[in-house]
Amino acid sequence: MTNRPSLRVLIMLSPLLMGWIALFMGAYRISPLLVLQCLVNEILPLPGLAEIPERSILLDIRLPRVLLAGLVGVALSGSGVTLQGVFRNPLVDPFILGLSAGAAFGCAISIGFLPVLPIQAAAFVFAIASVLLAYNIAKTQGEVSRLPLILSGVIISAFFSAMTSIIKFLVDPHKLQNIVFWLMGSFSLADWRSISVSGVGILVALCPVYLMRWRLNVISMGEDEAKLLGVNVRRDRLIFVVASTLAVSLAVSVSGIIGWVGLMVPHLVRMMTGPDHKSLVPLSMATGATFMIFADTVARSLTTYDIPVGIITAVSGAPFFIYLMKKGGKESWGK
Amino acid sequence: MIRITNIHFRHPNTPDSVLKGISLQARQGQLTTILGPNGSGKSTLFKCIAGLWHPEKGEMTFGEASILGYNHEQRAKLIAVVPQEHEPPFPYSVFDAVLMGRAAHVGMFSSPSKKDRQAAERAIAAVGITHLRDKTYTKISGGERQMVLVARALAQEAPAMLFDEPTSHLDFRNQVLVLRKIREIVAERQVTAVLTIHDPNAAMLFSDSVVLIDDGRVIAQGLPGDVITEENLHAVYGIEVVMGRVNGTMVITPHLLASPVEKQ
Repeated sequence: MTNRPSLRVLIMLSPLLMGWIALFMGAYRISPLLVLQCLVNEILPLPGLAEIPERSILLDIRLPRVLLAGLVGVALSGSGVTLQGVFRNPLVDPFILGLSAGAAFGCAISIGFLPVLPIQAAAFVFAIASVLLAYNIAKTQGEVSRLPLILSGVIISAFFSAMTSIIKFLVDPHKLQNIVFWLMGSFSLADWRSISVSGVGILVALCPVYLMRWRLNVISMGEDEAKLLGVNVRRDRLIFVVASTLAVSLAVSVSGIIGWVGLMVPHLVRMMTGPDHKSLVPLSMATGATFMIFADTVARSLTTYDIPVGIITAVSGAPFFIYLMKKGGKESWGK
Repeated sequence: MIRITNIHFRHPNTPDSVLKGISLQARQGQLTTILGPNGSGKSTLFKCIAGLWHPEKGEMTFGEASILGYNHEQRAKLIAVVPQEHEPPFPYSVFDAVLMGRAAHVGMFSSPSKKDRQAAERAIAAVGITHLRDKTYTKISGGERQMVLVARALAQEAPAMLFDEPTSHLDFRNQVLVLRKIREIVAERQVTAVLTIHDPNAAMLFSDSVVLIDDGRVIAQGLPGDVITEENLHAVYGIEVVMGRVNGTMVITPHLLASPVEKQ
């Protein structure tokens, strides 16, 4: 695998660049220079910038949205790359494993019936339940093969989607609208509060994943082999799964279901810079942030409406998955 | 020295023991081969020594230390295992694959240090696969992959090495190359090496000591020439064999005309 340091640096910086572009794009035109001036002004006050209306649009509307999109992108692709490594399966992500559907069901319960239950907690409980179910259904004789894991993810997804539909059916119409809109996946409700709760939570949840990322190489060699190399596979796998599930639950609780990002991004990065998780994990997180900010910018600039971003990612994700299937052939589906 | 005393093993919820009191010794600086037919308990014994399965009773020591209760990390620092060749799901580079041998030495929340990377480089050089260093592990030949796994075990820097049928997927040339390399490493580094193998000829040629097992018991152990005899092979494999001296070593060939006898 070729070492291309300049490419890596570029990928790591791409969220900043994309974030800046996203800040000056939008219905109200703000010049790229003014964006930078306003951002600098927050740290080092510049004369004459305190009162302009652009400042409020940037700092209260666009910046939280861009930051949240970036953090959700980090969560989805970070957990995507982790789950692919832990389950030794390049074709899984939080969406395919049914984890997103589980989290969404938890959120729907919380919105529809149990407002006392914090939406993040409900999302986490059902997300972890769905990933454990998917894993155990796919497990035969101690082995989890690729295709069964994807199939059991499909089953779990279908089950929790059906349960969510029951809630939509039973809940009062006013709340229904909330649930439906939020399920489609959108950042239109982003504010500083959701960043301070879920955004920060995502970063904290992904800390162990980031620190332990090199171990994903060893764990991806298989359970027995990782044990022989001296890794406590059960403990490490549990930490990886819980941490990435927590990150995805928090992401789902602020943005609804956004599929495919966790699958596409690690694949793209692996193709560009190789499979070593030491670099793959941070590069995937950065690319995830960039892609998510990009998709969200497209979602809100393409038409006069604010299209749910989940639609944008699904529209690009489905062809990507087909491409992987056709190109990878036996290598992807394997055993 | 690895000393195994009276190891018994039974799969959970099955009545029959697979290992019925196996005792053996493997000395430092020697290559000890475990030879036995399919179903003899060879692989089970291997998994018990490697620590993947836990014997019902018995004792296993390395030097003075009793290692049966060791966790995977402690054991990996003592025994480096070379598994049968396999294919990982991701196309790691050969260097990355060898570096994984350092897992037991790398802290839970850290990545390999410069020292670990140097150990991996040294192991690659020692096995003589420097030309493969930056190749993709999934795209090299089976023989090359086996060499990479040997290098990975060397990077582990453990005083004992365990090889699981290292030649079973290899062609004739690669079998010889891999076994020769293993012998060279054992002699040079004075490691305690245990190897399971199918082929009595290879065991005869390459080992310092042979343990012949069948039906979960040790049939014979000692010098290759004393253990691999026409009578013992007949008893264990149930076929007539002829032995003859070629080039200073005994060579075993099956008797073509005799029909196989039923094993009791």
